[in-house]
Amino acid sequence: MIIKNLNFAYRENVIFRDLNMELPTNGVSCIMGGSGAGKTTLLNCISRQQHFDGNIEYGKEGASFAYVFQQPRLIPSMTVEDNIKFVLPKDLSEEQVEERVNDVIIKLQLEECRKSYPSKISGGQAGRASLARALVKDCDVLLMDEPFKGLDIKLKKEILSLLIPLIKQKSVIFVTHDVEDALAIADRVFVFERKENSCVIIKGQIDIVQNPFENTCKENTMQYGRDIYGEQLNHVRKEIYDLLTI
Amino acid sequence: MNKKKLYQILNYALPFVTVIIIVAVYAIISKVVGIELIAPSVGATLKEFFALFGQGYFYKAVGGTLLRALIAYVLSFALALILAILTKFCAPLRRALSPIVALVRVLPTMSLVLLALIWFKSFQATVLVAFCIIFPMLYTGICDAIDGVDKDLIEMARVYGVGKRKLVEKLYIPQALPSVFTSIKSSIGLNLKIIISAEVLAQTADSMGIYMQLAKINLDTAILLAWTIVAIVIGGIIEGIVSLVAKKAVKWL
Repeated sequence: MIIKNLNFAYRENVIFRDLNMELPTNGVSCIMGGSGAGKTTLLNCISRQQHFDGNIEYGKEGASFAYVFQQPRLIPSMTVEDNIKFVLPKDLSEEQVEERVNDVIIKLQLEECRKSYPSKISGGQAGRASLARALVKDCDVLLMDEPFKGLDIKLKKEILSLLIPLIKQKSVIFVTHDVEDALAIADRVFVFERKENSCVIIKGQIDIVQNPFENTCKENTMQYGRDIYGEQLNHVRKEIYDLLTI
Repeated sequence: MNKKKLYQILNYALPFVTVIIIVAVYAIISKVVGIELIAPSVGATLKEFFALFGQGYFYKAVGGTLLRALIAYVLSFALALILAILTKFCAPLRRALSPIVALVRVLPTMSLVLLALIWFKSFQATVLVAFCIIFPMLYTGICDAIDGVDKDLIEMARVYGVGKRKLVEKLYIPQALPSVFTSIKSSIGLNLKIIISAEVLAQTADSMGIYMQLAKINLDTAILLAWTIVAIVIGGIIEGIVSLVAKKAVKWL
């Protein structure tokens, strides 16, 4: 995905001025940065929820999106299962719908609450239902905006371990504040910075797609929150922290 | 008896207790006043109330009033619904309609009745008066209900490329319906009250309003109160039906 000369402003407040970046079509790109650094705005521009000047090339005409929002955004009048079905296109047969829905429900361990309404499920289940809804759709780009915000570390670990194998083959743009989340999931990290009254700049870009830890990523994720990543990953972590803090 | 059971019994019994208290207070007032012409006794009022059911004109009057109320309400609701949907997708139309809705809302009921009586026959006049009062209420209520649909969910559906029909069927209707029913519940009783008031002023034939007016002219306060009880009972039944339908509809959705 290529972003060319992206310009966007909320009235007088300029967020992006001629922003250019290239995101890999396969793998997870992580966008990091402080509050108000334009991370969510970028996702909204990519998913065409915001009108902007410039050009975003998706590598395909009429690209489709799935979006995991900060809040689960489940429809309260529908069961978990129906919420997942809601985003599927109408040209799928009933069997195809059932097959796809059952698949994500099993993978994300939602069998127990598939017939429950959002008000009756836990925060972790709601988070997983929101992920299931995003994963059930055969989309070109999966956008994730701090999907673990507000979840405790145990839940986050549980969801991450389920999520990582499911998104490895997808084109994912993942926004987070948490360096550990980025290390667990990302192939490339972009660090955004926006100083007061100025537009967003890309402060740094770190590729971790070829890192030697990919094979042990799941294991690392299971050990989430503990410092067991080893020297090289510690180096990447330090690099991200430096970009975020200096 | 446990606390929950007691609470349930009280929940059902308290409205009846309130009615009994109101009747008892009225009975005391009637006794203190002691003039049947001003405050007839509970017994005399109830006697007249039950006597109404034996009169042929009673059913004609109730039927006539209900017909006018139904026409006014259906017209108001249909137009309010259509315009609320149209204005949701066409902001200039909403702005264009806003002065009309504001004008109709603040128009004094009495001027409206008098003007309607000059321009129309009494049947149409009563319907028009009710329409002019109920329509803005319903229009505003339905607009608010549609506007109240969670924007985050609409945004979610758009990002996922959900079709318009599915969006309306699965998101807008279930989300807006409870608020629409709240508007209906708060306006349907008022609709009946307005129709009866307009009938009194318009001297509409075969109406509850005209029989109330006749009772007042004949200084037959017990009959006037009996008709008032009829209006209260009918209003209560209509509101009960709406509540039941709302409950079922929301559950079904």
